[in-house]
Amino acid sequence: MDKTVTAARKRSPAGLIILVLAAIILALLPLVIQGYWIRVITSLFMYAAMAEALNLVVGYAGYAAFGNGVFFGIGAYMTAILMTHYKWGFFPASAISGLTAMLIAFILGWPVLRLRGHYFAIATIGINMAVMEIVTYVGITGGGKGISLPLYPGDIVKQGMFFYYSMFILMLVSIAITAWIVHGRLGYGLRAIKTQPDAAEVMGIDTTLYKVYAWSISALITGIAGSLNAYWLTFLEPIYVFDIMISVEVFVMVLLGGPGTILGPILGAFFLKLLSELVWSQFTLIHMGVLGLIIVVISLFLPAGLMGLLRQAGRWRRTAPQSLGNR
Amino acid sequence: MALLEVRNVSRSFGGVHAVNDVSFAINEGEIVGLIGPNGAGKTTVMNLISGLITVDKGEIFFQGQPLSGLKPHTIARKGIARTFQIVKPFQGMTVRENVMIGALFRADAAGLKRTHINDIVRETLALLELEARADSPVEELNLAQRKHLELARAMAMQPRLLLLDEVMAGLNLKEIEKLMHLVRRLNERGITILVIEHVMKAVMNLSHRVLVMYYGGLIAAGPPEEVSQDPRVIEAYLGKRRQKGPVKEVQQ
Ligand SMILES: Nc1ncnc2c1ncn2[C@@H]1O[C@H](COP(=O)(O)OP(=O)(O)O)[C@@H](O)[C@H]1O
Ligand SMILES: [Mg+2]
Repeated sequence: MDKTVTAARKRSPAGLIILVLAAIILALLPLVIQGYWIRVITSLFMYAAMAEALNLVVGYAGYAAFGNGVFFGIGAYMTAILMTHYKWGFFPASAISGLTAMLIAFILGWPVLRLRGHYFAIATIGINMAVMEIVTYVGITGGGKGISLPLYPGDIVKQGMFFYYSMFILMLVSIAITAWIVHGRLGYGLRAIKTQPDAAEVMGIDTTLYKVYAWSISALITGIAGSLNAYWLTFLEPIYVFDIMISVEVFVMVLLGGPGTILGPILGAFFLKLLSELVWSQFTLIHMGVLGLIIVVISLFLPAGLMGLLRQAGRWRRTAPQSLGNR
Repeated sequence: MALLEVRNVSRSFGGVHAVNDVSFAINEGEIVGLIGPNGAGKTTVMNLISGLITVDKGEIFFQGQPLSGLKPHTIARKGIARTFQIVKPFQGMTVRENVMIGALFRADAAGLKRTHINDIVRETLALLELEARADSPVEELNLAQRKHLELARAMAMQPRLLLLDEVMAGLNLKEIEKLMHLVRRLNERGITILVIEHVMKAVMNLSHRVLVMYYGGLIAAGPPEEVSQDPRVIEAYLGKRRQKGPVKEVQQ
């Protein structure tokens, strides 16, 4: 959309190298893992992409979009309807699903993003619930009984690979989009809006439009995640795809990783998902409790998330040798 | 034609007539002072010009064009920049990034090369003597530096009209003198300035003309020497302060 601008912060080459290495490892991982872990990491990529998408609104623009999962559900149902009722192929169906989510965010954004703070957060939850109700009572969606999608053609291994790499690419694209936004006018504008909306306005930023842009892009990515998820699961129910817990979990990932940073939400998603997989996946009952505990810990001790912690560690490392030398 | 014309403008909040039938004009190249006791409606006048608040009655013209109904960002892009009495730095950003916002969103920004934008930022930082703090987070600035930053952000927008709301409040004498010098420099660069100030020496010294507000109304306007002799002004504003002895800086 706009020309990019160099950020004042210099990107450390070490960080970029780690990033590229991590991407290569993740791309090659299916050579050594299979079945269950392929599925775990596929879903991890999906959550990471959604966290990165939510970060645009929550981390950069500073708007607590609690009900962002609504776009996940919209993307999922749009794909299901287009593929089952209209016999569309997955890719066109997925593209239209993402664009539908984006369009809905764009239209709803104008009134809703004028609300400040808590009112906006509540409104997004309301939208999520309203859309779930609509989907449940409209015939074409299969209603409360759910809807089945066509199976992915090919054997189970091929199928696993397809969703693994699709979600992986979605995650990479979400990172690339965020990096591109952050270094351009939209990113600067959003960061200004976050702390001083009035000052941003009188400096020539169309604050409403920029917030709507951020939410729409967020909805696009989230919608495509929902679309892929629908095709992957092959069966949808309103109470599953519009589950407010999806929104909550993604929100926690953003806060945990570090809102308003490019890689924080990805880190948060990996951390939370792997932890939950390794530690408490067996104990579904305490899952909610642990999530709640994490929320409390972040808000008390980690306001800048894991990224903030890393940055602080980096600062200590840099300053420590000097202070030793001074002695 | 005046650069800015405020014509019979009124604005109330609930029962308070914050601005009551105020009219004045500012010509290209002028420095105009706007004074009056606290609560007189000065900041509200600036909010009305910059579009943060809508007028109840009356009309404001900039370069002959009415501003009514325009959003603040549109007004900004027409060439009106402002500072805030209570400074509003963009937190979580460096000084340079704050100033960058001004350069990125000015009217001609879409046609500017990245290097050009960086140049504008560098020049503006130099002009406002913020180079040494360019890469500091804004949270580390002291009050005087924050006031300079407000000015720098506005200047990076390359405005035709600059609205300054008490940029000197809370500063010491030396800092005030420095800012007076800077404001004059900006004016010499061809920028028209409307300045709200409580520091009498500064405003009387800087301004070509002074407007005096009192309870929402404009009670006097003219050259500083004339206005300071006006009995209504002395009664409403200057007199009160003299009775109280040495001039105290008023901060909000
Ligand atoms: N946004 C607002 N809402 C309600 N009242 C306001 C608002 N802005 C200003 N006022 C009131 O309008 C009057 C003028 O305020 P202001 O313009 O800030 O005065 P000044 O800048 O001259 O000190 C005051 O009585 C103030 O309380
Ligand atoms: Mg004021």
